[in-house]
This record gives sequence, C-alpha cells and structure tokens, in this order.
Amino acid sequence: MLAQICHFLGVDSSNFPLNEHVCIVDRSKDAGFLIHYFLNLCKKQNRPLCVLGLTQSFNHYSSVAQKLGTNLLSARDNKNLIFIEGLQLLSDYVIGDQSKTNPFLQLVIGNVSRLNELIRESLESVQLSSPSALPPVVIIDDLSVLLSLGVPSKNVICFVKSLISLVTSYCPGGSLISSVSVSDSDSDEEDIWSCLSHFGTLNIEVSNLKSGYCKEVHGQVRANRY
Amino acid sequence: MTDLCTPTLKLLSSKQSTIYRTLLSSIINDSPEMPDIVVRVGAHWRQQFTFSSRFHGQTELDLIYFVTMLEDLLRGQEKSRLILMTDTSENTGRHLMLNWIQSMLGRCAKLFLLCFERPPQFYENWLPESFRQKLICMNGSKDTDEGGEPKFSLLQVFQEVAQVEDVPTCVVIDSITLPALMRPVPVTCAYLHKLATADHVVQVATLVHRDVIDQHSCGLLEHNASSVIDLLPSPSGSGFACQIRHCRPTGKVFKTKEFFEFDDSFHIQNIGPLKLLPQTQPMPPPSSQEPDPAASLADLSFKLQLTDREREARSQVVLPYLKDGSGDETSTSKIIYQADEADDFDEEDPDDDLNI
Repeated sequence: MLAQICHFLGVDSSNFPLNEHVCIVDRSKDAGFLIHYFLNLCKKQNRPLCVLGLTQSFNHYSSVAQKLGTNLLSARDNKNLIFIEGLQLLSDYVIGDQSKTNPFLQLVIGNVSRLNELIRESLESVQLSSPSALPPVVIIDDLSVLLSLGVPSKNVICFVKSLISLVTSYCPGGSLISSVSVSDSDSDEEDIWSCLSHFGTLNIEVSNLKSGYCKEVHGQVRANRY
Repeated sequence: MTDLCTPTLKLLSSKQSTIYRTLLSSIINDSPEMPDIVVRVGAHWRQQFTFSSRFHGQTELDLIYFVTMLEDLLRGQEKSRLILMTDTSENTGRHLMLNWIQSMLGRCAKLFLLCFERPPQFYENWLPESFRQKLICMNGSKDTDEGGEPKFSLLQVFQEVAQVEDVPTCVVIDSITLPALMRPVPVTCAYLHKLATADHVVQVATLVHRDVIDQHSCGLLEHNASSVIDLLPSPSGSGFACQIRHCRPTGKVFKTKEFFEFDDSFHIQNIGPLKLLPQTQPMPPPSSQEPDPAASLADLSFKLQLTDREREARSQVVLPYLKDGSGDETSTSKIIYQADEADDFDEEDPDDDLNI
C-alpha cells in the first residue's frame, strides 16, 4: 500500500520532501488511512514527529502502525515521536481545566500562541533527542474537531497559518500535515478547507463515489500538487 | 488609404467594425497578395488580418481581431494603479502573480513583496538572479504583536514604502486574503488605497481568493482596484481563462475575456482572446458554478447512462397491472357481502369525497 500511495501522490518513499504542507480533506469519513500512511512514511525515514491527535488516542495509531510494520511505541519511548493527547486536553477544556492557560480556551478567544507554544516545545524536545538531523514533521488530526469546540473558523485558519510559519521557519525544512473533515451541511469546515487549499503544496481530497455506495470500491482520491 | 510601410494608423471613430471592413477592402484593392500583417490601432487594440490571394476581389472577409488587455497591463503599456487578481483553489492565480512580479521588476527600481502565504524563497527561486537585487521581501507571517499573535497587517509594508526615496516603486501582496479575513475589510482597503496613491508608487498588485472571503468583502476590494482580473476555468479544459475589468483614469471602462497558457517554467505565453467552443456553453459567472449531475455520471468506471436505443426500449415496456385504457376491464370475479345485524352498513360510498 505504501508504494502505491507514494507513486500516486508523487512522494519519494525514501525522502519525504522538505517544506511540504500537505492538506487532506475528508469528505467520506474514510480518509484516516492517509494519516497512518504519513505516520508510517515519516517513521521509516526517522523523521522527528510531533502529532496532535484530536480524534483518536495514541493507542489507536500505534495499533494500526503495528499492522503496517511500524513500532510507534519505541519511537515514543526514544523521544523520536511526541504525541500530544489532544483528546485529554479537550476533556480538560470541556469538563475540567477552564483556566486561562488551557490552549483550546485561548484558541476560542482568538489567541493561537498558547497552542503554538505547546507544539513548539514538543518540537524542541523531539529535535533534541532525534539521532538524525532531519527536519521535523507535524501532523494534526483533525482540525474540524476545533470547530466543534466553538473555535471560529478564522481562528483555526490563523492557527494553521502560524503553525506553518513555526514549522518552516523555526525548524527550516519542516513539514506540516493537516486534515479536515468536511460534511455537506457545515459551511465553516468548507471555509477552512477553501483557505487551507491555497496554503498547501499538496492537497489531497478523499470523497465518496458520485454514484453512491459500492461494495468493493469505497471512494476516490484526488491529489493536486502546487 | 493605407500605407503598408507604416501600418500604424489612428482610429478616427469608435465604430471599429465598419472602419476595419472599409480598411480591409482598401487593403485588398491596393495589394491583392499580402502576407499576414499586424495593424496597431490606438493604444491597446491590435488587429491581425489574415488573407491570401484567394480572397482577392472579395470585400467581405472574416476579421480576426483581439484585444490583449492582459498583455498590455502585464507589460505596463496600460497604466493601472491597483491591480486585483481573484482566483480559486481550482484556478490559482499565483503563477500569474509570478509573471507580474517579473514584469514589474523590469519597470521599477524597487519592488516590495509582502508574503502571507508562500515564503519569500518561493518567489526568489523563480525569478532571474539579475532581478533579485531589486526585490525586497517581507514575510507577513513573522509580523506579530507583543503576545506573539500574527497581525496580518499592511502597516509594515506601508511604512517601508514611505521610507523609500523618490524612485519608481512597485508593491505586490500575496495575498490580501488573510488581511481581509482577519482584519476589517475597510481598513485593508484604506491601506491599499494609500499604497496605490503614494507619489513614487507605480503599481500595486495583489491576489485575493474569492472562494475564501465573502462576496461583499470581495466587492469592496474590487471597487478600490482600477483593474480586476478574475481567473476562470478554461472552456477548452487546457490553459487559463480570465475576465478583465479595467478602468482608465479618464473613466472609460474596458471589459475583456482572454485566454493564456504557461510553459513548463510557468512563464506566461499565448495570450489571446477567449474563444468559446461551439459545443460548449458560455462561461458561468465566477460566483455561480453548480455541478452538472448528468456530466458527473460520465466519468465513472461503469456505465450508468442509457443509450438512445435503451432509452427507447425502456419507454416501450408495458408495465403489468397498469391500466392502459384498452380492452375490457370488467372482471369475472365478484365479491358478495351479506351484512348481518351487527354491521352498520352504510350505503354511501366512503370514498365519494375523493377526487379520483
């Protein structure tokens, strides 16, 4: 699967490109395989990884990675992978910690620096302990969860823009992979995707078949490289 | 009437089609066999008459003429203070912006490039090295306030431009979308106007994504611009199409639809009038592009559409249990109901009030 996807996306499996901003839009709820693909690809190349998981816990990604032949547990133990448990932070925001330092509360009121600071600290930590001098990769799965928290779409766009600046300037050559789930009825998700598609160097759109559900073919993928 | 040695003519009236027919017939009568000639009339019109000896004696010919407002704006032959390019993610305007920057660098002493989306290296790597010394790049993403929040402000470039000595200066902003989205649009429009009307500023060019900001904000920005270039999908499927609205300082407004292509290194080429294909419909306006469901079934890996023969056969199928209005509809079976004492038998038809 890895080789086929690499060939389709025009990505070198042995050398993930630098300064890449990959935007994934999921219109079918089946695009999770791309996140696992990129995790697997970056792990094989020993790229320092920082993952902000807002939909699944680390165990889920680790279980899937094991089936693909990658050990994320050892990467995390070796500090080559920093997984930010976004679900835990979200539960603190919704139920527990309502203090001003909560990054998601700050994001709701328009301050993106707190969440950026959290990711920057993770990047510092992962780069220090990384054996290779390769630039890091930041993966966010997925941005539409922030909309469900009440974060305005403008703030999400501002957050992604500042994160791109952080990844590319603070860590020269760094790459960002972000995913957005878009449903037909939500215009905010569509607005975020419209904006991110202009920022991205590689846009991947996963959608259902126009003819409807099919037993053997689950959807279609369209990739645009800029 | 014509002097073929000096093909430049002065346009005497606005009735172009009549004048050009007269002009052409005069050319034919004077010289029946001629190569292709290009006659430039006015500041921006350019006509190309193509004919050969087989047209000798005819006074009615198909005039092939086109208006290349895009090329004139690009090369600076048509003056415009503020150029606004609008695009979508499907028809991106960044490559046109690259060509605009290169053209501007040939006409000015300094060019300020404010980048909000692509890093400055994206432009520097594409431009020839001889032009880079005139280029002053500013990374708008690094302009933050005391709390580290990005400002998306045009104040930075405005202050830099104000400090420049009296030399021809150009300003390019890629793109104005984030400032328009994050800050009040009237404030952004005010900064754009100040930049465009500064004494030593020759031209300001910017790009806005009309699929990101709302129509009202886009309209405010377009109102400030003297030239608006809307990038549209090409009807032929290849190349790019654009719709241009240009206002001269005298007040005259030009509207054109043009076509262009990029070569492998994204240099613009083959600028010409947009020719609509006979089998295609005219281009829809940028704001209304609804997908055609019938066309979406055409590119599937299995067939869902019917051929004409299949459609005809389907229309001739007689459905069972459907009354076709022919034949005896009386049935031989009957239902005889005998009411007893407990039944409240009503002679009236309960469905009598239905309009069946």
